[in-house]
Amino acid sequence: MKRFVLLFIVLLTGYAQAQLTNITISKGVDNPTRIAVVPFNYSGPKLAEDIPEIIRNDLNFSGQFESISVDKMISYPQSEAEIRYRDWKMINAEYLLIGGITLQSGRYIATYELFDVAQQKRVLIKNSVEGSDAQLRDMAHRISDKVYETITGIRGIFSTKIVYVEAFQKPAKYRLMLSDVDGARSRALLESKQPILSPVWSADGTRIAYVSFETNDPFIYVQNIATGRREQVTNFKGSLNGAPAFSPDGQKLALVLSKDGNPEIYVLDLATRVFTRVTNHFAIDTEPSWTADGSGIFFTSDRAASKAQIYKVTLATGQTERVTFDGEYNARGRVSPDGKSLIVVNRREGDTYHIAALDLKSGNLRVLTETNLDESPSIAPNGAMLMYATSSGGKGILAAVSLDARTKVKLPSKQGDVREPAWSPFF
Amino acid sequence: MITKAMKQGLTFAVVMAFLVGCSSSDSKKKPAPAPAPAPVVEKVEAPVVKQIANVVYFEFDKYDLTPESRAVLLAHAEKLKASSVAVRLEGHADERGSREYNMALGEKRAKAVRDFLVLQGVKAASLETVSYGEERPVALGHDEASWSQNRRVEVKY
Amino acid sequence: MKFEKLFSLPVFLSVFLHAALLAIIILRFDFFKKEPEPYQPHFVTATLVDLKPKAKPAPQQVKEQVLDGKKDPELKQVKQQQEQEQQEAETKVQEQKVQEQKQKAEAKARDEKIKAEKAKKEADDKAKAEKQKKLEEDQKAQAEAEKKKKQEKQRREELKALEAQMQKEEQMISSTVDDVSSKSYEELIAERVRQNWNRPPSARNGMTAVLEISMLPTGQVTGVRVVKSSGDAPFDRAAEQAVRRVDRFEEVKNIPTAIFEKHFRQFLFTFRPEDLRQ
Repeated sequence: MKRFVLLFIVLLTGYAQAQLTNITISKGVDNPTRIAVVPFNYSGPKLAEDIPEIIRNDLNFSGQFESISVDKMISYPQSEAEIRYRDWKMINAEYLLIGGITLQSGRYIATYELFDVAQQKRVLIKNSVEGSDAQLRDMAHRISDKVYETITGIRGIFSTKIVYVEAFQKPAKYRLMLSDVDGARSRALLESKQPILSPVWSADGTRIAYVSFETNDPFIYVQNIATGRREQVTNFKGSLNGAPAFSPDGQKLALVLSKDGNPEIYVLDLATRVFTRVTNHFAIDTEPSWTADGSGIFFTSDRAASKAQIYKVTLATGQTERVTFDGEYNARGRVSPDGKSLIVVNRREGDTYHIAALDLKSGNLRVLTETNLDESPSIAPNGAMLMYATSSGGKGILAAVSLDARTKVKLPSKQGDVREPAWSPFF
Repeated sequence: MITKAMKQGLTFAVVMAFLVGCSSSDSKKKPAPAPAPAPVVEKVEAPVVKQIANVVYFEFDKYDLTPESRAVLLAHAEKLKASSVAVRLEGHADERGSREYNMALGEKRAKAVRDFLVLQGVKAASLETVSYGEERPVALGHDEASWSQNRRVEVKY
Repeated sequence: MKFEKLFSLPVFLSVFLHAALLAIIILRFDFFKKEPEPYQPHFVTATLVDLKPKAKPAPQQVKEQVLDGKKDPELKQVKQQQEQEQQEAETKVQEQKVQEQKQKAEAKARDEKIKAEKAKKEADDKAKAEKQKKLEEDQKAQAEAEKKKKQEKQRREELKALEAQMQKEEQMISSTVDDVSSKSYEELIAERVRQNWNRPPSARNGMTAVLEISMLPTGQVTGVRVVKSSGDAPFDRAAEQAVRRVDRFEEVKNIPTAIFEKHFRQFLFTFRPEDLRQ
């Protein structure tokens, strides 16, 4: 009898087979992409830098990749002909990068090729990058950028830089530092016995602005990275001088002054040195940051029942609207490069401070970090990651998280307390 | 015969007894009697400025003065009125929250102290305010014990 | 190629169906047919007739009137007539007697003949009957044997079906119906791909890439082709790689051929993230 039923149903359904079965999935595991960067072919005196190792670390730093260590590799191909895809499938490599370095009349030339292991095909034709002995790290970062962009479609940030503050106690010392995004080649831009805070980059990456207490009072300075030359742009004693922010066109500086009684936002025209007041409220108004097109300014205010929230003022009209509603505290808003998200320091009731991303369209707030006492977020110029300050083991360190919160990285700690990272733009 | 020392001692004892009585009672009680003997003590012994606290503390995210703070500040007010010394009021905040917002909070605290002193008759010109935000903590721990010590205004002569 | 494939499927099913129906028809016939009755011989139902010659009535005893012939000449005439008649009667009787005997003999002969025929017939019939009986017995035996064979076969098949069903039930959530079992294999395949799908940072909720997968009955992936791009190359590539990384779906070799051909030799795979935070 069973066969009867079976056949009957088959009869009913048997004819409708013009369409193929369609399986749908909506979830993945999102493991980092495993990439094998094979030691580059090179014969010559030992190089000052290990280019493939820098590439491996760069890709790991992004959180999107997992570099396979050299001791796990079965073979070390130096050309396409030498590649045995089985060797790479066995160690679950998804991509394979091979390369070589040669020295030609004092210049180093690094060539590289990228292959897809699963599809067993070439992804990048032989590319090359060249530089001097002192630029070996830059060459490595360029290769990382190219590999990252080829695989993810997003521009790589491995050639960008960061500025941050390093603080020491007993005796109190503060240093404004500049380094590669991976923390290498760090140097001090300013040293002081007094606090330094709020460093920011200009959009063209040539200047920074910051607050320094070196004269015993906080004033804002603008400094040229390359030359080190700087000038003091505010001089209001007995007032807050703080939170500088370059406009997207680099012509103006938004900042905070309390010279008129309480902290308010002003815009300083760097050419004319004229201050224009932007906010006018008895509450605290601070931490200005510009919209992508420069037409508006986000700022933190506690005008609403003395709870810090973020507002936006349209410069042309002076119209102000509240932007954050989720949580007891929202401050330090910075807009993402695509203009869609506002990165904030957020605290929900009963919880501690975290970095969160606010979708400006939907108003949906996503908390991105799980570390404690997080602050000072700075977004990477490709919008895929952000760096922020947090504490670990009682010390201040820097950490990075991807905007989709999937990947989290902690930067190697320095000697002092590290804080206030500012991510440079693309150069 | 009651010596001068004995007189001092008696007065001192009375004053101390009175102070002890005051501190254990309701905090709302006007602490006016407490400062009153102080100048007496100062006069008798070498004036010790450090005996007045140079720091007043604040509650989390607040810049209003507590009664304890007021008490301390009143003492300072008297001192300042008596001598035209300039003081620098340095406002601080604990590490929680963003730095620039904490700069503003520190300033609010410093200004709250200044306004109070001015109200007591101190000349505004002799008062300078500055905020260090969270940049110069005295306690480095990451707990309320440390934080409560950092939420302060320091009176610097 | 695809068209042919699609065309063969219904044909295959149609043939299969007809064969099955035929099988069932035969079975049905066997089940409901009555047991063939043993052959009954047709006897001649004749009753033996005793041919009793009709005995003429005994000559009437002429009342002898002893008449004195003396009396009349008529009487003498009468007596003569009587004597003549009597003689005639006697001859007649004699003739009758002979005839009777003749008839008797004939009857007897006939009787015997009939008896002989009867006996022969009986013998014949008996033989025939026996023959029939034997035939029937043979047939019966054969029928029984066939019946038994069919029963055995059916029992075996039932057992097999039961085993198959139990196996399926162990693997799957519900019944043995075609579509439901294929859905369960779909889920197994989906899970394997899911475990290998690394969404790139450019992925956003709602992005959709559709791939066409070609597979062998062993589960070996032989072809992956993007039939509908998401518009984002890294997203498409991540989808392709997810399938290629599985390379061989272990569970597929357990799929019954019919279901495999229908659903999995070539199928579509849609990648549409919904859990991303952006």
